[in-house]
Amino acid sequence: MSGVLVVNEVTRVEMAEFKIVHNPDTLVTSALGSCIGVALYDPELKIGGLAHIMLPDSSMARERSNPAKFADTAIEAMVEGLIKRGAECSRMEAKLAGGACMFSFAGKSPLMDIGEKNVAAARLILRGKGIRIVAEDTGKNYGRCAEFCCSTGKLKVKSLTRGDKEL
Amino acid sequence: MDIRELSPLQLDALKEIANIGAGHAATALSQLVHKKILIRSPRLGLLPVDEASQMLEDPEALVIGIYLVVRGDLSANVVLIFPHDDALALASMLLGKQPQSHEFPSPLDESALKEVGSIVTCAYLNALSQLIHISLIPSVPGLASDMSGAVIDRVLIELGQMEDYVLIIETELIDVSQKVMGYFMFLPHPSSIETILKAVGVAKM
Repeated sequence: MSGVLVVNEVTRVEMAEFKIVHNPDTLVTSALGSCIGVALYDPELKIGGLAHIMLPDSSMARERSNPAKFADTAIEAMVEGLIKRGAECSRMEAKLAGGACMFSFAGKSPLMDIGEKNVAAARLILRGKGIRIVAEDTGKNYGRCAEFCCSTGKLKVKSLTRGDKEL
Repeated sequence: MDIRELSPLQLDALKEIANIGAGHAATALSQLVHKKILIRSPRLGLLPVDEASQMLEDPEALVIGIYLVVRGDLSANVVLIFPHDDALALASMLLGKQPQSHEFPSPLDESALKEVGSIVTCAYLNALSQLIHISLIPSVPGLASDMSGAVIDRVLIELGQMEDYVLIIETELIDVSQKVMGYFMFLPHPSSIETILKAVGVAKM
């Protein structure tokens, strides 16, 4: 028998993890509430990464053993990983999903909700690296699942209550 | 304190306190719905924050979560999680109507469920506060109807800001007719675990 079967592998990205894959693989992460999903893609090389980030800033934490938990260190590490495989920041495109405010309390705290903070932190860090944010589906009050396809760079965002979107 | 170093005796003490709290919570719920409520003995989960959501059977299952923040002598989070249909059945029991399966809970359902969350949590906290002589103040309840993983991540993040590990004390509540099953989760901040242990005299490792 001849011929090679090209298998489109689907890799799961758990909470506080990031993964990098290349065409034609797909990355999926489930149930983003206040957490934020950051997808980075180099369309020329067709490689990309997806991070499931919990918190905006590693400097607040006592334990920083896992860089993928925080927006600053996760994006840094993922960008580094992509550059190592030949990608360039100037070509990279970012897409964001998640960062919702899941619970609304009657007396809303004047402080920003953690979801909003995650979104703001991700935007700031990406901008600082000169990476364009080409699309996002963030905020509001519902959970999302994200599916990132490295052959097209499309990020499919699914929700149970508000339908699906393709970014 | 590093909660990874809790001794078996300390874990037992926490479990016993949870058991007493859950007993009161179940009684309160039972009085609300005029049905017998059973509890399963509490489960203690000591997990890395980022793995805690894997305790959920299906992170994408539609659930209704009620969330309260506890302040006072302890800092803790309380979450009640009900499968979506069970939550609607519970709301119907309270409101004396036929259960309907619709996509979203009505504002009245939500209000009834928040009230359940408040009353059950207060019963749990009252038992705790009488047992170890501390004062506890719950916040107003917040409600989310969504994927269980998305509902719980907000709570885990709250705890994960400082620590890598969380302690989840979980009790299952079931009504005798088995129409309603839910989880009551108590997640104390690590500093508060020490307060509890001191109060029951097992603070020393």
